[in-house]
Amino acid sequence: MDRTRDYFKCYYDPRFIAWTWAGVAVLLVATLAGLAFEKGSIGRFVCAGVQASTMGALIVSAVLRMRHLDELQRRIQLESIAIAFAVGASAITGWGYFEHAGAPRFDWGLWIWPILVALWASAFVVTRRRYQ
Amino acid sequence: MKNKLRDLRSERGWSQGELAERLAVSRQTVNAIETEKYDPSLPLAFKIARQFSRPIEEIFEDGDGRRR
Repeated sequence: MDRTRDYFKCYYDPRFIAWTWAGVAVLLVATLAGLAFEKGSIGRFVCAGVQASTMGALIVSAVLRMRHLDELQRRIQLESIAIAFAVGASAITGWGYFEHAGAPRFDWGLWIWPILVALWASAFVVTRRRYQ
Repeated sequence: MKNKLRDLRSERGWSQGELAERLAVSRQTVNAIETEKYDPSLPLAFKIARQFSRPIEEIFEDGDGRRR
């Protein structure tokens, strides 16, 4: 119970959560709106621009949030990101070799972010346990 | 690094959460220091020393230092 409260105290900030969900909503709307335009049209490019800039804003807000964490929580986050980066880079490079060997091409541009976030979350759970 | 944080905290009857609040860190950080899974930074070690009004070397013990 105590541990759960502590977890929320460190990571739960209503403004940050609200901002993140707003960002996700903008991403979804821009994605759906983009589908209404032809590929290569200005409308499609505008929607892609909204998606890319929202993504950037979400990353900046996550980094700013990390500045409020204490030194151990920052270390846990740093280790988690390093693990996610190493595993993600290895997976992409590894699959690149297979693509050169004839395996089907994978759309990394679309999936790299969800994959990295999933790896980051998994690495966070493992890293956090080391300090409990 | 060995430390007497748990003993000092118990002497004052503080919970880990209370000490964490006084140090402006998470309870997990206090727990990790007490169980010696994490060595605090120098600024945090000074903060802990000030909180208990003791010199740092009285709270934190460097195992290597004693052998010299």
